[in-house]
Amino acid sequence: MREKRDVVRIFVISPDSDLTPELLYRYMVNQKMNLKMKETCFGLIVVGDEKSLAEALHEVKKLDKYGIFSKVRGYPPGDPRICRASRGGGPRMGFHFLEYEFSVLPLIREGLESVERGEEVRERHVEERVSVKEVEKAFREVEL
Amino acid sequence: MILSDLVERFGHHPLGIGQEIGRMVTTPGLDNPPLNITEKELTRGLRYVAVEAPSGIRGRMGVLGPLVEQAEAAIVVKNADYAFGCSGCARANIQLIYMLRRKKIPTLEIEYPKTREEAKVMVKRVVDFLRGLGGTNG
Repeated sequence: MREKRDVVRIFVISPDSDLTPELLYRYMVNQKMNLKMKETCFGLIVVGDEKSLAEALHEVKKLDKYGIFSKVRGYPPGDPRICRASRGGGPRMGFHFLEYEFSVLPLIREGLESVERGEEVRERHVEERVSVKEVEKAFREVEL
Repeated sequence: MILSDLVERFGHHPLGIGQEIGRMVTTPGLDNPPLNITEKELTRGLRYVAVEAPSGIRGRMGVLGPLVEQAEAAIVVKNADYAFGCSGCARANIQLIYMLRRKKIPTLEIEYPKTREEAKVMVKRVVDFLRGLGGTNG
């Protein structure tokens, strides 16, 4: 068993960011870090040891603090067990959910910026559901 | 991804399924699986669900159950998109929420935002919860 295992992370760029996966890739290459990278449609998949990845995360957040999100991913890039090339096409597992979360990222940026500004936010009062008995009572009241 | 990022951003360590799967699929061994579940996970899953539970749920619980045991706090995001996963994922999710409630750890339940206002409320609640727990940035 290997003592030190490489970790895989995905860096996802928010759709409202000025960055593109290509720009981010070039920036990372210029940082001369000991990482393997794959450019994808939503950002980058980065492989490396935990320390280098933490450094990389710190670096990319300088570009767009609230526009780059990341998480640990299980499979390394190009793994034949999930790679579309070897599975005969179709989206890879988890893609649809990633796509959904990708669309929510601009809203999360708004939220993070509002926290940074120390904005007061008020939770909207959610009206409780009306019970069946109350509806029946209301009908009886208007009955002619 | 959103939750994992927010938890990390505010100085805590997220227990995500990604790292567990990563450990399983990159550790060489006799049972080096074609996918990510071996017999060991299915057996371990029996600690959390009954034997009658479908294997999909048992396998997921074999991976996710130990994470719940390690957890010191939890954030549950409800109202996920249909793209969240299949029925096995949804049922395993219900079981996980049940386990979290029984564990009586600090838990925050929120919903995915649909508007800017909802997003502000969601992020504020997550940040307040994480800061309340303490941590490096908390």
